Amino acid sequence: MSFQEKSAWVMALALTVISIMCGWSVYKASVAAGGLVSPSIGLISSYTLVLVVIVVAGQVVISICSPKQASTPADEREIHIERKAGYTSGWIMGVGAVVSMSHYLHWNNGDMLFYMVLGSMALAAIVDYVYRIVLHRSAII
Amino acid sequence: MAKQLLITNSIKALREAHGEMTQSQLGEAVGVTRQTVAAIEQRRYSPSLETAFRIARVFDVSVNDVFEWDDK
Repeated sequence: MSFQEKSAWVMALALTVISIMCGWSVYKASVAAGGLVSPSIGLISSYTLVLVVIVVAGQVVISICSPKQASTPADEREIHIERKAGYTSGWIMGVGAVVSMSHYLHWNNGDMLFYMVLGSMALAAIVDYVYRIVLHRSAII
Repeated sequence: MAKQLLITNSIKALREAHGEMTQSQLGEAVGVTRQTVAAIEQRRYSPSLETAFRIARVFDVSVNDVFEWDDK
């Protein structure tokens, strides 16, 4: 497994776990409050901090395990994979943003707009890294 | 059988003919990873023209001796 693929695994797993945890926290708080809770900077920043810590720790571990690969820049195939995955995730982010704005125009709910954009960002990032893994492992590029 | 690209190559045979050169050694010589060499050999990735020439230079042959178009 190449360093780029290992890195994509770390990012995909970290993003998935943190996104689920964050979503679950918002869901629980909303159920307790009897309606959608407003976005909290404390909640978002704490999950962002945990994500950064997990990602940095993961990258450090895989760099220690394969120091030679870690210091080698991405080759032409890996750059191609990053571009292809980035293109797909860009579309997801774009569609998510349009759906979120459409929802806001119809319902005028700013809190939901925030969560939908945040969710789109998380989904786009997860798809980006998962697609990279798929391309690294099996697909024809 | 998995789908493959239309360009065939004889990299594996050339590696074996050059002292059992490994994919890692070839990758290092041309500036790509072992995984990329494996993908090229398995016809899952078409290298850039520059990398194709670099591979041919490693084996001291022409690009045509390494890569070929497969009409089948």
